[in-house]
Amino acid sequence: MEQGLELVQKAKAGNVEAFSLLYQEVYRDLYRFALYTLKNIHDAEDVVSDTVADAWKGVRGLRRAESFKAWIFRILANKCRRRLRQYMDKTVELPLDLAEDSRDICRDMDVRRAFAELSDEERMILAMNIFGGYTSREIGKALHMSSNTVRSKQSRALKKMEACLER
Amino acid sequence: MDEKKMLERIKKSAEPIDVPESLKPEFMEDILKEKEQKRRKIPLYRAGAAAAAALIALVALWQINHIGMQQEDRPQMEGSTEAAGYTEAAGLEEYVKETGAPEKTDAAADGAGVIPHVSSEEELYLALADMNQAMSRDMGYGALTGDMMKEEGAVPMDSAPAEDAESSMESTAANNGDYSQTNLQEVGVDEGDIVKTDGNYIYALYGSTVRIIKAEGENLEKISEISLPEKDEEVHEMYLDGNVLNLIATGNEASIDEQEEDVYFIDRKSYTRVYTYDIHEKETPKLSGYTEQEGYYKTSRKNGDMLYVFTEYTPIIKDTQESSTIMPRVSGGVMPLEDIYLPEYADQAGYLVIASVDVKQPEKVVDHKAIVSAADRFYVSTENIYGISSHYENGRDYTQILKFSYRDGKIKPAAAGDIRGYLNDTFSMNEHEGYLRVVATDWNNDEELTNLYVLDENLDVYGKIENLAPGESIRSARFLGDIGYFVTFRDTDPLFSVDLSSPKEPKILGELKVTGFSAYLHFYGENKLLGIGNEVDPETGEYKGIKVSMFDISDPSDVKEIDKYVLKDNYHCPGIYNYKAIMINPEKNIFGFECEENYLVFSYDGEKGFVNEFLYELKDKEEFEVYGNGTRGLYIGQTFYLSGSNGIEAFDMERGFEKTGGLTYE
Repeated sequence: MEQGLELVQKAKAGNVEAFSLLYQEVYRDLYRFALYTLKNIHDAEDVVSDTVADAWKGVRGLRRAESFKAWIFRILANKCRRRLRQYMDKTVELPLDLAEDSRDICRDMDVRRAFAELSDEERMILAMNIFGGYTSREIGKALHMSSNTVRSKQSRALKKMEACLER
Repeated sequence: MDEKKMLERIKKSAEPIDVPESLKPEFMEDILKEKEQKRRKIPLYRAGAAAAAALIALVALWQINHIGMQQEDRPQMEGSTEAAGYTEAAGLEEYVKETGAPEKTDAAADGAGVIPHVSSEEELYLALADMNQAMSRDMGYGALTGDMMKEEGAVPMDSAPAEDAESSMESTAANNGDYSQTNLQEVGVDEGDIVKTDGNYIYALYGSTVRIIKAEGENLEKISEISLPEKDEEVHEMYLDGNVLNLIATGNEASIDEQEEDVYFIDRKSYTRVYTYDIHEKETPKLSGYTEQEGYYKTSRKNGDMLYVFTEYTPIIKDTQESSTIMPRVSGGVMPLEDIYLPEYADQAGYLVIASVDVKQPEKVVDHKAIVSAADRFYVSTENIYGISSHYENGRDYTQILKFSYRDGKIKPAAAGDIRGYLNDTFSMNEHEGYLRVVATDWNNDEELTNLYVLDENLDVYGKIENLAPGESIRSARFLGDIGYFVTFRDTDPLFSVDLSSPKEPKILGELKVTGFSAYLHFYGENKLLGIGNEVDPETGEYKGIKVSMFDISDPSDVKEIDKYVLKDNYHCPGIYNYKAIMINPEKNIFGFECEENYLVFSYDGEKGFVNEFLYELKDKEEFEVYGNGTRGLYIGQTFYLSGSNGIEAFDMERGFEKTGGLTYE
């Protein structure tokens, strides 16, 4: 996208507005990724604003042909993974903020609840695919598993959700 | 169940969610201001041989005994893995390939012999059109957001300047050969990188600019800059050899084609160029010439004066042969049919294009070949080029290997073979005395297995060991002559040692179980093997951090882990997937890499084990950016340099890595 390249160039040169415009295209997906992965609004907010700050500092190093979206997602995914590991040390059950918005249509809420029932790893894999647009090979590399493993875990996760929703 | 539908549903369920006000783009300035950069302490702990107090950061005294100043010897280059790098967002979309290829037999490998020519353009067109149709039928996985992400070329480290008699490099007594080189996979085969040094100057490529910096101890001075004549080309990496600097760059050409009235089809074509600069005069680098080949850059190698460049070319396949463009071009001319090959099993409607350039005659392509193939990872020995591509068919993984012999710029297809399974990285292949040793992970009834093959010159299976380490997958491998080591992992890491002295009968000598796994192996000095990887809790499977391990391999049948050093809660380590991001010289007893916003340097002591010589925080320093792939550590004599996207810093290795100088670009 020509406009995108121009924006990247400007952002690299220190233009906050250009950076905001790039962010504008991805911020919803970033937040959804974080929320679906971490299941917790506060942590999702935290992790996304951390990512934005780091991305701003590092945008100079962004190579032209590289997609801004892919790059900022990498930063976010890394931070989410670290959070998840921190969760493992916590014994407290985290609130399922995912399903709490009462303005929702029933179906969306159900899907989100079902999603929240998946394991950390399954949520991570699905979120990387759906919101991050990663391929199974990329997900495999990020999570230290083969793309085959990613595919089969994803399949299993989706089957779980289907079973959950059919109840 | 339709997986795509379920994925869509999940995506839809997220749509009504409101992003908190504080994260909205209107409040960008506030987000950036408010985020206080918290200094993060990395808890370091060590387990292993010598007891020591917890080590953090700087060592007061640099012990010269450790880091021998070798004035004379050229450090042994033991090679490095080619891996896609942490910045692996680049990946071509993966299709579940159903290309209607012939049924795979159960033979572990199928050496098809020499790769078949194409007899006519028509044959070529028909084959490509068929494959194209088959692929678009099944969109497969990861197509939801449709981001076309390009695969980044391998990011290599600096090259070893060849013994160039004509080189009029200034040589200062202190630096005779005592400077870092690119971490290579194969000794004798040079690879490109973004930072290079010849012991007197540092050449740093960031963005698309190369800066030539005079480095004399703590004094850093920018002498000149090179920007390409074409503004929009992306420079991937460089080669440095005496007074010759090569830059490899990719550009795009777009042409608009009106299909129907007012319906336009934009053809984007990528081309890759090798620019050769004469850097006799550092203040005024001169462009000596360039060559060009179609396609997006994958990787390259250099042997002597010959540079071999690999690109991926995507032809434009339309409904008729006449309206399609299927022949790749090299330096202006269309490749002749006799240089184009169509393997029996072709797995993608695209080409691997290989072209060679003699850097002493930089305007001419010496030889060129194109093969219809999805080969995207390469291992190059001193005699042969091996390109691999993986495909998935009828529930099984296969890896196709294409072999080309090369010499003095001439490239000749030599063999094509297929093995079951997939390769973890290019270190899983190694050639020795004509045989190609390969270690691959395969699946059998939902369970992973490891197989080791010894393939002969025709890529037929000559020797093998199958069904090792059930339930685990290969994480790293390294071969040296008659011995090979590889690591598999699920909960714990067996490090296998294999005796390859008899190609027909490879033998497992030993299996060492340790926690975690190594993702990169490097032979370290006499009888030692260094591993860099992850520490994992064997019971919970939880990743605990980055780990470096030292193995004693004096007796391959009884390998011992003699020390380990864990960086707790660290996960981001570019060196694990990009071997060129690792600085290493076993003879100088030094290695360094970036880890989670810091750069660390280690040495190894027989009694104390790993010594963390230096830990430097990159975050908040304007010279470095932390989530890119651009930080490189290097040394010249007693000075250690950290090169980042916006500058270089100098540290005195004899005074505990005290920072002594720096240079910021802007």
